[in-house]
Amino acid sequence: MVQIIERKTWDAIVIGSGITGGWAAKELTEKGLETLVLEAGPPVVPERDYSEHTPPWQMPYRGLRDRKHQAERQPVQSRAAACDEWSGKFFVDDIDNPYSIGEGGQDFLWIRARIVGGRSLLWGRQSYRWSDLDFGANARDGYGTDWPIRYRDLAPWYDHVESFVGIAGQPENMPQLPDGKFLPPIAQSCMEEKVREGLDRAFGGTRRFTPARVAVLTKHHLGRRACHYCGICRRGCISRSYFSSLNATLPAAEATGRLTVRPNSVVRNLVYDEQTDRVSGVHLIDAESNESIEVRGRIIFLCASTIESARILLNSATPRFAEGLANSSGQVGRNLMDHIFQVGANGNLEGLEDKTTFGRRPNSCYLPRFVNLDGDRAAATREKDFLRGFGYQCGARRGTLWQGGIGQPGFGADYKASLRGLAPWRLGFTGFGENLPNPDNRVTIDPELEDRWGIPAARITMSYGENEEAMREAIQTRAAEMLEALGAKNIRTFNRNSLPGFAIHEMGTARMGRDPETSVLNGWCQSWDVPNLFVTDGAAMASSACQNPSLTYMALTARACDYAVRQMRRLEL
Amino acid sequence: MTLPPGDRPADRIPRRQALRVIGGAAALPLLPEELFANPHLAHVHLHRQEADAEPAPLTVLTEHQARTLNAIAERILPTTDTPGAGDAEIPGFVDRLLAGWLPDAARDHLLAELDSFDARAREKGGPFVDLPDTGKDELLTEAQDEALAERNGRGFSRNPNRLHEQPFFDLVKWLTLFGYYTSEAGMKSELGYRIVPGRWDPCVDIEDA
Repeated sequence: MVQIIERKTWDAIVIGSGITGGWAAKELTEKGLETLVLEAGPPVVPERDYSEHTPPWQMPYRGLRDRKHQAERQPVQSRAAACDEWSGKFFVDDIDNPYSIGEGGQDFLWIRARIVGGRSLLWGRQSYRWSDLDFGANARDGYGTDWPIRYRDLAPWYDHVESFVGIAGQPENMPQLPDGKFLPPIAQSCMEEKVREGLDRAFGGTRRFTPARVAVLTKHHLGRRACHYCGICRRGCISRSYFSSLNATLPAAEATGRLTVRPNSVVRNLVYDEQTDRVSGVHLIDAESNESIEVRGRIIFLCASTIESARILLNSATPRFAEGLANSSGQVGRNLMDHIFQVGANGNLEGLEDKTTFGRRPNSCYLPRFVNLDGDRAAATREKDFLRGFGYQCGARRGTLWQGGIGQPGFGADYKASLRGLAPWRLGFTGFGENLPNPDNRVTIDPELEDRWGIPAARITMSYGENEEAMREAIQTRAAEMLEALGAKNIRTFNRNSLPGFAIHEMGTARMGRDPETSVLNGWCQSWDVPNLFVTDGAAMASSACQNPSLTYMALTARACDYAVRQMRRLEL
Repeated sequence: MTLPPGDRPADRIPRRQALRVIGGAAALPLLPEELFANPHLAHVHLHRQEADAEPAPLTVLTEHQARTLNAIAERILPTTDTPGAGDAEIPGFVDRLLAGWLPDAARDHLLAELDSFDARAREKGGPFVDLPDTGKDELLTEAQDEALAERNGRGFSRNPNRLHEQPFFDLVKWLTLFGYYTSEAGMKSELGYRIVPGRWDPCVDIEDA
């Protein structure tokens, strides 16, 4: 079946060029390894493909999207806000890249970008450290299995990645959201400063309204320019001010002279050598020629994204690993998690009618978790209806009046004048809530469905449970009570019951753990079963916390690379 | 305009480009540093080509329909101290929607209603475009009143599959609003939009924004 076997043996093969693949490429090449990065999709050339400065009037549908194309080819992807008329080209074609929903599961929205740079080109850039409240959660309440690491293990690696990425953020000295190596924060609007003071007063400093910590530069940093506040990061960033593989890690890896990126390389399976008990290479399909090609490497970093990495392992079954490679625990594909969101509240704030903001910032605000805390604070923050917690992405802004213009009667000069100006300040809170690990939420292989390249497709079976339901209620009530405390008017709660996958924070299908019987990876993201195999994307997560996970994926990747190279040097790999 | 209709966004990343990246020094080209020094220059670099492009020819609307639509748009959002919707290239925008975006039912509805609206103008002395402003506004007021009665308290629906149910006046008003406030004239002059603001100021007087 494999027709072409390339003779060269790479020191390392990294599967995926997204946020973790980019980091693996940078770390491994900088440590001296000849590294091949396999990316399923085509290259992206910033000068040609970025469109953040293309205004609506230069788009065919002025931002209303290529509706018919999306209905036909991107019915799932187009559910994502970022899959707009500008950036829709970065998302996958749903017909070429199918998946199925398992019996009893909710619809799952699997939002993907198969391009060089992956979803790092499209992410929300929110960058938060996790704490021992998160790494200790499974051990504390018994859901999932205990993380094999704690905050102290990861803290130096958070330092390491933040120093390179460049995170705009404000130190807050809150144990549940550790401070990092920050660039200057992006200042809050005058109304948001009032909100911060008001919440500090009303809740004794327990609900801290802080500028969102984002991977966007507020000053020149390692050859990349400071943000120019054009505001639509997900369309690209010609000044490289926001962090992506394409803007930062891949160029750094390339500068070593040891990087090769192979785009249009759809991985079919890993190749396992029964003689050595190692992965010897990767079997890929060239997306353009449809040729089957095998490439060989000494170590493999699987960074294809949570569900894709599970799919690759399950599609790599061998006589020894009949249920999927590296799956002696039976845990590959299980414990799929996402964050609940699209739930919260908003309301109007009076005052500062003559003030607004200038420029379009790449962030908003964040309100860290304040429920079910640990240590001395525990008792006062205990919620009886649910375990674990949530944080809010939030902010106060003024909309334009014209957007409500169709609801206003009239036409002509006076009508036009009435649409000038800004709406009142509106403060909104959108919760992001932790999702308990559950072995029944899982990725398997569909027995019939195949993608365009003949590779068996993923089947996703996932449902939110009672804990998530109860948390959705609390997210609304707690947000509404903050708005009331601030004297907001016209307060509305909302709950759109986001489907699993829609937060695009999927994780957990090859969890790290302390015991090979119950976990896929050890504390170094290394397969218990196959020692030269590392999985460092979202698949490795043993729990979901409520913070956006990318920064933690990056830190875990850098730490795993350091470990892998040390092991290679000791000839233990 | 960046994309001719029919050029699928997914096709815009040529797969041929891929092979050059393998092992080559040409991978991941970076812009010269001096280009980054000025975001405006980077913008100019990016969009030089678009700026020179000719407006695309109409594919669905007749010239007369386009002029009628433009005249209606100009009365809904007229030129004041800022440009009006007549300067917002609304016929070209609507033509593209008719060609590739609107469902068939909405397309047929809009075209038929546009013609019958112009027929009513002819009863009042000439095609809509040749009526004096007062005559235009009388006809639009009539259409607005009819729309109000037809909707009977219901709001306007932007759902593409409901657009054919919307009264003509509301449909054309929505196209005018959306078209104007996403046009170069509307965004730059009326909304004060800058593609590259260059800085973030968290608190400014409203008149300075």
